[in-house]
Amino acid sequence: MFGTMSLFQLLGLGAASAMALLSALAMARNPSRRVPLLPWLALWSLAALAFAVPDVTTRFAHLLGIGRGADVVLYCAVFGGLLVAFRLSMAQRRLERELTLLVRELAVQQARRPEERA
Amino acid sequence: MTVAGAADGVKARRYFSGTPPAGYPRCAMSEPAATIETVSPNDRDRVWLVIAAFNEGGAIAPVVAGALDDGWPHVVVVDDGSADDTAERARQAGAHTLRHLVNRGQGAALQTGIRYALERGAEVLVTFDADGQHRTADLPAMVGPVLRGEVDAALGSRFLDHAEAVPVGRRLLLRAARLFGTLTSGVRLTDAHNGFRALSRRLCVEHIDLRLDRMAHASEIVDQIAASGLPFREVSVRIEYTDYSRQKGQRGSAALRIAVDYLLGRLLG
Repeated sequence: MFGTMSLFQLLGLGAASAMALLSALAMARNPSRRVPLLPWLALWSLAALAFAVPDVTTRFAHLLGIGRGADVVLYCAVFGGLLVAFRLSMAQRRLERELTLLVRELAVQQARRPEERA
Repeated sequence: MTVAGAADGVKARRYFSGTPPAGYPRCAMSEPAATIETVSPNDRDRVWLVIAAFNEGGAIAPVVAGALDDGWPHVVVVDDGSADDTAERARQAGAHTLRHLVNRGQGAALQTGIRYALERGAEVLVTFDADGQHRTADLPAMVGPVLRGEVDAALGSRFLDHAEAVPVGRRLLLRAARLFGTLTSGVRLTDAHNGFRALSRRLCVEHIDLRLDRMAHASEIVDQIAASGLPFREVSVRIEYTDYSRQKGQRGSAALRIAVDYLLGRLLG
């Protein structure tokens, strides 16, 4: 099987498998993180499968009525990228909000009354 | 200045494309000055000026001292993470001073000042610029209707009587901002992004919570006032444009960023 793979496939398979393994190890080490890590394990496993057996993406594409497997991968990547950007943006807004509240609390606690005017 | 409340049915303006629903916030223009508005010392004691300042070390002291000398005893300056000595100069001039450890934006600074003033019993809160653009001479006309309970918000407008004093470039920019505000909030004001406002305690406690930290708060506050259902009106004020204030003011290129910030804030909360 590996003998028929291109160098790109081998590198991709290795990287995706390593990431899937890391995700699985993290889940095993930290039970409370199992649910949030599950999508990552699934993502890297699917990526590894797609590198190992590229025809899988083509078959999946046909199921969805899309012509080529590469197109499915591209659409998924774009959608996933947008999703990640949105989540990061929301997280940043939340952090900014919390920073403002913290800065405000400190400012009010350390407020200084005016100096006596001459 | 004698001002007529919309409740009296005088000079009420239509601020919507359709008929305002019952109970929707009423807004009336100020009438031409018939008498000079005066505010007694006791009433002035109920008023707090809230000033957000960022790197205003060169301008803040005269602004604070001017307000105090004019008989407004409570001035709070929120130094929004300035790199200069804004806070110290404001305090020496006689203001209560608060300092944001890092810059969070004018909206955040005003909300900090509003919270502080409310905790000290402010009954009328005035947002006032740090760069000397606003005149204390306009304060009686601004706070009078709020002190008397005629409205819960008086919004300064430079276009009611003093449009000629506004530089042409700024006038065009503000016209675009006004159109944007009308489209997004449904509230039609003659001036957009005028930082001179007088707000009642009731309004601030129950309805004002600025979450847009930067300049888009100027649209957000109008939205919150409108959503409160409490009466508000525009009051004519004069803006003193100086080289300094022009230099410190918002540039046209910032308008797009403010619009995007406001829309994202509305979309994402």
